[in-house]
Formats: sequence, structure tokens, C-alpha cells
Amino acid sequence: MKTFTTIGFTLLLILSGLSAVTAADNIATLRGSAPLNQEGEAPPMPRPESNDQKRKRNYPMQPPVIPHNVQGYQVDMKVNKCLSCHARKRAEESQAPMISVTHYMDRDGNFLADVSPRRYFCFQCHVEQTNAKPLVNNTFKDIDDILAEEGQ
Amino acid sequence: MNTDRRTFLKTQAVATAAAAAGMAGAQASNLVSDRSKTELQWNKAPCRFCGTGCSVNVATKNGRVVATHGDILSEVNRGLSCVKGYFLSKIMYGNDRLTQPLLRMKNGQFDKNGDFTPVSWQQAFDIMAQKFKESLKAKGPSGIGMFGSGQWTVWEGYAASKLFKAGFRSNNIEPNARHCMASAVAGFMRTFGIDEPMGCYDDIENADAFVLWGANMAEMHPILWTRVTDRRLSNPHVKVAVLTTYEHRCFELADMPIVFTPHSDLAILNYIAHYIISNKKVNTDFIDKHTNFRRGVVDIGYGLRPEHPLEKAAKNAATANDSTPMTFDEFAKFVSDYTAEKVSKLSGMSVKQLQDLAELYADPNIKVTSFWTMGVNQHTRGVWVNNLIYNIHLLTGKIATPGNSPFSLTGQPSACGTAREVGTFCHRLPADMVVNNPEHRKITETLWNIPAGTIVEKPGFHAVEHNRKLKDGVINAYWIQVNNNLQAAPNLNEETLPGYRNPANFIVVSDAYPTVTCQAADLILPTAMWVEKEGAYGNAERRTQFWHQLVEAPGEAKSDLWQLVEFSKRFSTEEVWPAELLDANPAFKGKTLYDVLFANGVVNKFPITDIEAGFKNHEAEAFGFYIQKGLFEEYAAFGRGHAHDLASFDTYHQSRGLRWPVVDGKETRWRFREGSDPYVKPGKGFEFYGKPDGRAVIFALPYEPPAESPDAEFDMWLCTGRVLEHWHSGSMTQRVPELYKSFPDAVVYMHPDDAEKRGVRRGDEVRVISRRGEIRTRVETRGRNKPPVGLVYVPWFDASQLINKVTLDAIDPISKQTDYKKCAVKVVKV
Amino acid sequence: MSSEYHIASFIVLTRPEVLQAVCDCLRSLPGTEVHQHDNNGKIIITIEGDTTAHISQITQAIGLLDGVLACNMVFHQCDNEASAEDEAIHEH
Repeated sequence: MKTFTTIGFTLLLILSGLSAVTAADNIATLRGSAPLNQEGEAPPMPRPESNDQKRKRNYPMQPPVIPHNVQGYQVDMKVNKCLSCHARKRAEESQAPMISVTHYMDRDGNFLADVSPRRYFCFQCHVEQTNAKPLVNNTFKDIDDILAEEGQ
Repeated sequence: MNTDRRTFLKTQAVATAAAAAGMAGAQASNLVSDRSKTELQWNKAPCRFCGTGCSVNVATKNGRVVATHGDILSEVNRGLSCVKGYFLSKIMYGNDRLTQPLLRMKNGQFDKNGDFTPVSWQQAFDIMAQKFKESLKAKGPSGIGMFGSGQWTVWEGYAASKLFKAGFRSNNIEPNARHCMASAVAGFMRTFGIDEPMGCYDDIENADAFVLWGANMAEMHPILWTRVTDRRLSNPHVKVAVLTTYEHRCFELADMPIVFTPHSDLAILNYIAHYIISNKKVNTDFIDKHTNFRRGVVDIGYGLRPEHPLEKAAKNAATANDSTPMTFDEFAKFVSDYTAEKVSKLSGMSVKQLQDLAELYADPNIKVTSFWTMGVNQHTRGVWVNNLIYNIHLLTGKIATPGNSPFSLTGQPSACGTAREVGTFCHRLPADMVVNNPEHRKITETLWNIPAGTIVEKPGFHAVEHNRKLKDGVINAYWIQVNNNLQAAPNLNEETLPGYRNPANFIVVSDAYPTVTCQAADLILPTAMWVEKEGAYGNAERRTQFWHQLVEAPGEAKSDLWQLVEFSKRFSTEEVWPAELLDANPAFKGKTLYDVLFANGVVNKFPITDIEAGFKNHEAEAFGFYIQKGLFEEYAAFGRGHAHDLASFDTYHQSRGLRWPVVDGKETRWRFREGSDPYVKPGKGFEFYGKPDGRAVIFALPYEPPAESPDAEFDMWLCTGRVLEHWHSGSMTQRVPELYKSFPDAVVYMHPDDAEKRGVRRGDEVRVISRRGEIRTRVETRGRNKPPVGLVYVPWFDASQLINKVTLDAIDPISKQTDYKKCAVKVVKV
Repeated sequence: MSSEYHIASFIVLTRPEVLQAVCDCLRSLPGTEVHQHDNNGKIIITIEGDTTAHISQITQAIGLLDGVLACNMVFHQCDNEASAEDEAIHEH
């Protein structure tokens, strides 16, 4: 959680008259309540969400986020821990979703026998989700919302 | 358990029951098969983020962006995007978008200490014009300033530069690219006499070896990294060397993972030059025909304030860019000082590592591509490191041929296209020209159709100086567009913040979101972003890319272009130009800057009907002509026929970008080589035509120590930078929930031994303190970055952990670029 | 405090003419939600609670309501409250 209020801290500032900017002008939504010339407490480290529940994608082409903890996963020239479950040949045993068919295509759109090296480093597109609560809501509407609005 | 999980279970429970009951469940999914409903409008646009310049397809429906994905037709990314690129659809929809101008007011009046109050554009421009006029009157053109960015579209940067350099006659305009690419620019100008890489991304598919000199491409240029990965994993003979001051994700692909002591890259590069020469691997034919040798001035200081002891001690700070000719033998003798043993001691690399690395360059059968970004450029000797990398490519002739490429990558989407090519720096004009060259001023004044003598000879203040001059009250009216400098500029507490909050100053910030820079401002202008306007960007491989306006900006938000041009209507020539200039050129009397700069017969030449059917264009509708086209064509006249040729405006809307120079409709992939670059004269083989004699320069430049190193009290190096999931200061990506949740808060990456020594464990809160300021953050000992003992890494995307309070405002004295990679800190448990 | 979370869904069958009245009663029961119904008297509900006992008490109460012909469980899941939160932050 980052929307903290450091009451003692603010009080101290008011008393010492140090505040460079007045409290009422606190508009920077991503910053919390600390004045610009002070630094507030760092929020506790968030934990990875690891419930293996699939999240709705915003659109079909969005890479799915990773619904489990991947800390310490080795992905390098020798080993790719992600593929040990998500590769085509492992998916039956692991019951993990198989990587999408696009991952077998090379730069020119040809299908290869195995995963394309250009897709090898999974974390460039697929990221973990922590339990941190977003500081700002996002009003993106997906196509279904828009079609529903249109239907009304 | 969280509520999402409960909702999910409940949904499942209901769906199961409804199915069992044979009821058409609310959750049952009906395929919408009506094509008119599911059909999306797809258009191309370059990605809004890094300098790679991926092209994306953007789907819109009913005036909203509903999807984005990598453009299959784009040569840059061929259908891929990184995680940020895949989430572009959501960057415009943070629910705190600014939709009205906001002015600090008390009792209905502007007040520096007032609260932000919504005002009309009319009121906003009234007070802004008043403040700019007051400053111009009191201080002259040097009393105002502007800070833009490498995220300005080409025409926005061009309009801003024209408004300041021609309109206000002030050279105090800078892009944030000063913090990012200035050392690369100076490196190019010194070695080649012309800016930007000679090669292109096609080098990746042709190289046998890659050497990264301070570029974490796996996180900062992820799509280029997919191309490097593809090349390396598909071709076992290919080698990847990664040089860095801390272990990062690029090590996952590294055949030669190398951690070196900060600043010792200068010595490593000189050792490689020495190795090439002493092993007789110099391409003598190439250097005889195509190069000169020069000795650079040394002891050039660190660009700190003049009263700083380091500046007083520096002998040649004023002549930092000077050099004198030397011979090959003198150069050989100069680098012979950098023996393997000596450099091993300085750098922490083993002699074997040094030899293996040098051999990649020395072996004539290995095609080498060197990549670098901020590790080299944000360096108090960044220009030198750029020059030294060119040295080893020139000594071996490994340049300008496919796969042989010293490749300076850019950080921002249009650092090249706008900041550099348009010349939005305080000393530059379009097409690599400079204000202190009378010939260049004359060319510019002619093309701009303004009186001779309008452009001021003296370069303006550079970026770091802007903040010093704001603090000192020298600059009093200041406009910031498309950047978050309060989160970026070094030494925030001592320079930037006091400068912005100086009661004598009026600070205007144009942004889409309320950033910390907005919070430090006096007037905030709500701004349209990305596909809410028509735009053009130029990426790191000289590729210019266009996009159309695809949706409307929210509320009263307006593009930077509209703001600049509309603001120019508020000034008459009499208010901003001296009487002598007007008396000598009476035709300019009684006109506004808008008349002179934009309604000048060139910029307003193209009618609205030229706009491609089906696209809106807010600025064209507002001004009554196709302003983007007019600005672009006026600007393109600077480079055509001068090795910076751009294609026609309409061409770019149809293509996935073209790499300049575009001559006879053909783009140029490798410059300076006969057969590939139309500017190389037949029979020359290679020609570095940026220099009058067609020869590139090999520079003798020594190792010099950094401005600040760890000592007994401040005992660690601090390196700052980005993370994959966030773009720059996070003002867009932190508002995308998926990206936020993937990396919500900054941390300090630290070696476990260093943590133990300080009695802290992963997750503990610590203070990272320098002589200038501090932040509070959490310790990370097992993340993606693994610093060596004695170094910590803190990313700067987090507005609640302003690490720029800690960084040092030392700069490269030649390029004026800040060193964000090196200063001394201590880490203390809270 | 219980660390368990139970959720169950049911098909409740009523005589069509008393459907609305039954729905109103169902809504007043603790942890109970009415999700959908049709014209033939079928109602889909969920019951949430801390214990199995809570779920079965409510189920019995529904069975006793006037006009209710049947109440059949379709889905029941118990989740441990802590199960989704894994791993301590600190290294050990």
C-alpha cells in the first residue's frame, strides 16, 4: 500500500515550517502525501499473487500475466524454467497452458519445430502481479464494454 | 484471500448452477457474430515508449482505443511488443487525466503559494503571456526558458525551437535528451562530424559478436534484445559480451559476462586499442585512407558550479572540446600505457577477460556490433567513451558494413527524430547546424524567412544550468513540455526544487497527468498524448515514422503543438524584437509571432483537404491549415540535399517508416560506404563526409577519475536507471494496473553481503543517503539485478522515492550530460 | 476467527406464482444472494459463510419457506483464507 499518510511527519513539518509547498496543493497522485522536499516511509514490499487464477485479458492479443510466483526462476541459455511446464511437450503433464502458437513463428512468419528464439525470454512480455493496490484507477474499456454500451 | 478471488468463485458457482438448471446463464458467452459490431478500426502508430521505435497496430472503436499489438509489417519488431508496448491501450485512460488548465490562485488571483484552481485556456495564456513578457522586458531573451523532450513529435519540437530561437530570440531551449543522448551527439560530431549511427538494426542479423558497453538491452530495449537473442540462439558461433557495473538480465544471454569498476571503461577501451595495435591487427589500409588521429584536451572538470573545488582545480574546463593532430605512432605510444595488468587492476577484470574481449575486435573474421546507451552516455567522460568505442571500430575498419557497427542506442522514441535532428538543444539548429556558426544562422534565417540577425549567436543555458539559473533567479519564466524533470533532474533538493519554487519564477508545465513536476508548477496545461494527435517520431536507426490522430483528447486537453502555436499569437514582434531589427525590416512590424513563424506562407501552405480521409486533426481544424504537413515540409528543406534527406510528408503515412537519408525514394541502411550510401563519392570505398576531408577521427583520450567516488563515510556507488515494466518516470506505466502491480515500488538492489554488513535483510526499510539528499526504500537482495559488493542500484520510476535527490549534478563538460550512474552513497537501516 | 471461506450455489425450485415473494425472503437470509430466475420458478442463489454449518442452516431454512418445492446444491467450495497469500517476505 502506498497511499499512506504519515501524520507525525506532516505535523513535524507544519511545526518547523519547513514545507516548501503547501499541503493543499498535493496533486501528484503517484506520490502519496510526502511534500516534494521530504521523503515518506517506503511501503512494505508487496508479495506476488500466486493463486494460479487466470485473469481476464484486456484484448485477445494481450500477453497473459503470470498468475504465480516466479521468484528465482532460471531463464538463461542453459535452462528455461517457464518452458519446463508451458512447453508443448510438458503441458499435458503439468496442466499449465501451452505457450501460444505465435511463439513458434520466426521473424518472417515461418513455423519452427520448437519455440522461436525471439520469444525465448518470457519476462519481456509476461509479468508477475503483486498484491499491491493500484494508486490510480484506469478507465480503459474493453471491446465488450463498448459493444454493450452501443447496444443500449 | 482477496475479493477478486471471491468474486471469481461466486461467478463460477452461479455459472455452474445456471448450467445445471438449463438456464441461459448471465455468464454464458454468446459469440457476437455481427461483423459490423466486431469490426475494429486498425491503424499503425509507433510505440510511445523507448528509442527502439517499434510499430504497433492500434484498434479503435467508438472513439476509444480498445487494443494494441505489435505490427507484423514493421521491420523493427515484426509483430512483437514488450510488456509496456502490449499495454499501450491503457496509458491514456488513467482516471486522473488532466482536463482543464490549473493555476495556483488565492482570492481569485495568481499566487505562487495558492492552490491549484481550474481556469480557462484564455486565463491560462493571459497570465502566462504576462509573465513571459515581464521576464523578457526585465532580463531579455535569457530570462525565459523551455524544457522539452525526445518525446515531442518532430513538428512539436520544430515549432518549439522556432518559437524560442526565432520568435523570442532565446536559445534557452533544451530537451531532456540532454540527460540522455548529448554525449552520443558530441561523440558523433567529434569523430564523424555528423550525428547518428551509420548502421541500422539489420546489423543484428549480420553480426558474429555483440558487445554491450553500458546498455541493459534486455530491459531497456527489449525488442532489440529479442533480435539479439534470436541471432545468438539460432547461430552457435555468435558471441555476446556484456560489460556492466552490476549483473543484470543481459547476463542470461552472455558468453562473456563482465562486471567492471565504474568509470574504468575508459581504460578498457584504450587497452583494446593497444591490443589491436600491438598484435598487428590494425586495418592499415582503412586507417590510411579514412582516418585522422587527434589528441584531446585533458583535465576538463565535471561541469559543476564554477565555485566547486573540482571546477577550480580543472585546468581545461573552458576548452574541453579542443584537440590537436597527432600521428599513428604517437597514438600507439599513448595507448601502450594501458597494459593488461594495469587495466586489470583499474577495472577489476582479469587479464584473460580483457584479452578475450579485445580479440573479438582484433580478429578480422569476426563482425562486431557494439551497443551502448546510458551506461556510456550518462558519464562525466561520456563523450570520450563514445570516441574510444569508435576508435576500436575504426582501427579495425569494422564499421558501416553489415554486422560491423558501433551502435549508439537512444532512450526516447524521438530523441533522434526530434531532439537531435530538429536541433532542440540550446546550441543547435536543424540538420546538425549550430547557433554560433554565422553560416548556419544565415541558412536558418533564410529558410525561416526571418530577418538576418534574428537568431542569437550565443548558445543558451544547458539543461542542468537551467535549474541553476532558475534557482539563482536568472531565468524567471519557464515552460516544461512532455517530461517530468522534477523526477529526473539531478540534485533535486539543492537545485531543481528551489529553482521551481523560487518566488521570482513562473513555472508552466504541460502534461497529461499530475506529475511531481506539475505539483512544483504554477500553471498546469492539460495535454493531449500519443494517438490523440497526429505525430512523427524518429528512432535510433534513423527511421522516421508517422501516425494519425485516432481518438480525441479528454476534456480541454490540447496537444503541445496547439499550445505552442496558439501561445505565439500572444506576442507582437514589437514586444519581443529590438527596434533596430524592426527598423531595418519594417515588413515585420505590427505582426504577431504567429504571423511570422507559422502563417508565413510555408507552414500554412497545405489545406485541410490534404488530410487523409477518415482522420481527424485537431490542430489543423483549429488553425485552418494542415499545420503538421507545413511544419514538416519546411523543416525537411533543411536536410534535403545535405545528407539528412527526408521523404515527402505523405510517404510516411503510408510506410512503416524510412531510414534517412531517403534519396530518390530509397532509404539508406548503412551510411559512409560506397554502394550503400548515395552521398559517398564513387571510387572512395568509404567516406566520412561529415568531416571536410572525409576522414573520421581516432582520438587519444586518457582515463580520468570520476567526479565522486565512495569513501569512508559514503561507502557505496549508486547507479540509477529504469526497469522493463516502466517507462522513464512512470507517469504513464504506473497508471496501467497490470504494469503497476508487476513492479509497484522502487527498491534498492544490493549484494547480500552488503545487506548483512548493515544489519538489514530483504524487505527491510533503509535510507539511501548522499551528500545531497536521501530516499527511503526497501532492500532487494535477490531480484533481477545483482550488484557487486560496494554498489547499489535504484530505479527512478517511483514518484514516491525521488532518487534524483541523491544523484550528483556532475556532467560531461563537453556534452553537458548528467552522470546518473555514479555517485557515492551510504545505506542505513531505518 | 475462522480462516475458512465457503461458497455454495443452489437451484431453488418454487411455484411460479410465489416466485417474487420467495426471492424477497431469500435476499433477507445472511450471506445469501439471488443471481437469476426464470418464469418456471427456478432461482439460482449463492450462500457464503465461514463454516459448513452456516451453509446447511440456511439451506434448511430455505426448505421450510412457503412455496419452495426443492433446494439442491450444485457447487460448494471451501477456501482457506491464507492460501492465496504465500511466502514470507524475508529470506530465512
